[in-house]
Amino acid sequence: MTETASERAQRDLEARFAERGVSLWQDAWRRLLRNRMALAGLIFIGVLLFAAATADFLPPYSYRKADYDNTRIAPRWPDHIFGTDKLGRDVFSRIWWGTRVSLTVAVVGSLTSLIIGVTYGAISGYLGGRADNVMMRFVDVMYGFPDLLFIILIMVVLPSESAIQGMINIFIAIGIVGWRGMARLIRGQFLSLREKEFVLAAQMVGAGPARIISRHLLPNSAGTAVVSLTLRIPGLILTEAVLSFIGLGVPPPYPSWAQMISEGWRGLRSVPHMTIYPGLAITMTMLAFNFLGDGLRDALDPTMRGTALVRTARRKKRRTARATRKAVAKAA
Amino acid sequence: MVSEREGYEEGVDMQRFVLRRLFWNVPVLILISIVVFGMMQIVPGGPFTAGTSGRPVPPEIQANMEAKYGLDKPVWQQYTNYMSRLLFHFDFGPSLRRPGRTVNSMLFGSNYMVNVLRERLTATFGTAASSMTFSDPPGLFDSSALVVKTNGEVIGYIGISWYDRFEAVKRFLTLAPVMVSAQVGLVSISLALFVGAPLGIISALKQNTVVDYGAMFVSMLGVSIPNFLLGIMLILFFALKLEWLPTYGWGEDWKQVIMPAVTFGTGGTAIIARLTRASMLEVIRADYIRTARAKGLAEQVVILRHALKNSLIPVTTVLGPMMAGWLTGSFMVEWVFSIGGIGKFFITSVTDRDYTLIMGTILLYSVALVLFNMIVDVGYGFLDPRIRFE
Repeated sequence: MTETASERAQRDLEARFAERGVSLWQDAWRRLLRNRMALAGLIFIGVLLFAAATADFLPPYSYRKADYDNTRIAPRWPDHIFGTDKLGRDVFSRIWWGTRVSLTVAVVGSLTSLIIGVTYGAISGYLGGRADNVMMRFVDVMYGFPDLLFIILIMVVLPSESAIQGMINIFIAIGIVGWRGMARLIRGQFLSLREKEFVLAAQMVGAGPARIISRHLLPNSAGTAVVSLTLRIPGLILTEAVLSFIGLGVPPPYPSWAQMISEGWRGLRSVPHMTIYPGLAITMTMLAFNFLGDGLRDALDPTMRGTALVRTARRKKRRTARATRKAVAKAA
Repeated sequence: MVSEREGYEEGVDMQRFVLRRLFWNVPVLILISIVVFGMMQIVPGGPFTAGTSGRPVPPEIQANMEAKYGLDKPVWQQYTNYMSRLLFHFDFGPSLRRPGRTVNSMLFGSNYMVNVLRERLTATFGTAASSMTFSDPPGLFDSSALVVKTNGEVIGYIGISWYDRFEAVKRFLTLAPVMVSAQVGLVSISLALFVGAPLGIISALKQNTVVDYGAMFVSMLGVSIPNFLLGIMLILFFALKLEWLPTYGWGEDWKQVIMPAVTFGTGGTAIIARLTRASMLEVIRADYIRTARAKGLAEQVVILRHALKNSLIPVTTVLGPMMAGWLTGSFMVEWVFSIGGIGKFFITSVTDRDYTLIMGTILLYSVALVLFNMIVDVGYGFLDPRIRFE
């Protein structure tokens, strides 16, 4: 394709303008993609999303299809690549299905803690003074409960008519525990943002509390909230795993990774594949979310030390230094 | 240099701070107990809706059982009865699901020390106001076992020798379920601190090297692997394949300590390593570190004496809740390794609807939490004298 000089100049100019006009989020996104581990995590989560979406028709077997002639067979190519469990159900297909549980708990759990935590923290931080004091003491009290026991208490309190409702309840209960931290965080943000000039300016032009909260304070705390939320997701997945492992999680025919482990680990010596593959699935998912969360924090908060940004900058410096050295050596 | 006068004032400051914190924690604890008590009323099903065999219990029998344990009384009265028994007699009440056992014996074991405490309290406050008192069957070192009776009449008490007292304390510390959990937790905390912190420091000092990346990847893995899975994998490898370590148990053999401690401690080790690294990176760029280096101090001195203390402040913050959680045991670790601690009650008490046990475990946990948070706050003052006790 031919391109005239003026066209090229035009394109360069556009590119430069585009570069100049990056928003905070675009900038963060770019930094995130530059962080290799975070990128790997992001890709892995994409794969998980795909798996969750296609669990109905892509896996070779159904998650509940028992095959009593082929129970506990070791992994073999090509029919049962991860082996089968004690009912002859294909472990690979069940792991495929299990992505849904872990991803749903991540979404529902973080939404729950976000909604409750942000609302509570925003009110507390915006009001300040005595109301804030009382509200935060209440959060202190809520912190006094052991997490797991509290989750189980909430689980049994929430009404459940159907199995799906019961499952959602578990996820909500897991999320409810997270609201305390979120509330504290948002409240802290609000307390400091409230004193900023732009809030004063908004008040002077006659903005009401609702507008100030929704248009000024919330968007400015969004970054912190997003980072904290991403860093919390592994915790949510872990909690679901713990509950499923002890038999209080997702009800049985539906597979969750930890529940598969709890079915498998009694026969650890003879059928390790029933424990190891679901275990790998959990660990890799947790790793992916952890790396993504870390990367996101670094991307949104470039002032943090030891960040991807610093790392890439140093790498670049090192690379140029090496190139210079080589060039010098060649010249000599 | 701090004059004696200043030092004295600091001590008073601290005393006042500790007292005030203690005072503030009382309403928090009371609120927690009220919330839990209230929640137990909302929870569908009760301790007697299903028998121990799982079959439903006839309503008449259920009513009788509830009457026996005072559950037919108004809620506020149940609450005040429970609290007065707890505060004035150190009596957590009977377990509602395990006939013949008390929550005291399930948490602290049936032992002399708790019984003596209860007797002292009874001597001070009189017998329990509530008509129902439940006591444990006399154990080996139960003081009531040493009552001398003739024809059923008490004619005297045999004193307890110091040797027996010492033995009783030893038994409590080694065998009481609370203490077993605390031991597991203590070993895990030590592991987390003594491995995690150095790991974090080293990777901060060698930032962006292979050592740093390796340590951080390992600690990321440590955060990412659920501890029950880690425990299972350790069993598979070290107990079943290599046959180096026993698969279960606690307190009989030093080899039994390793796997539970690693299982329980890895998550914390990883968290502490990452925190220490982050704060160390911040600290070593501070002006006073540059000053220390400029003075020509040895690198070791700069790191260990100047940087370490400040870099441990964020670690101290997470240590409070962590310690409370660890010392009260973990269901997972105790289950996977068959250890008889109190961690399991955090789950079973709710699934059984064992009201008194729920109260007992939660209160124990919250007292531990409150206590350790306070210790951490005091610890701040030592790490950074600029942090005043206000």
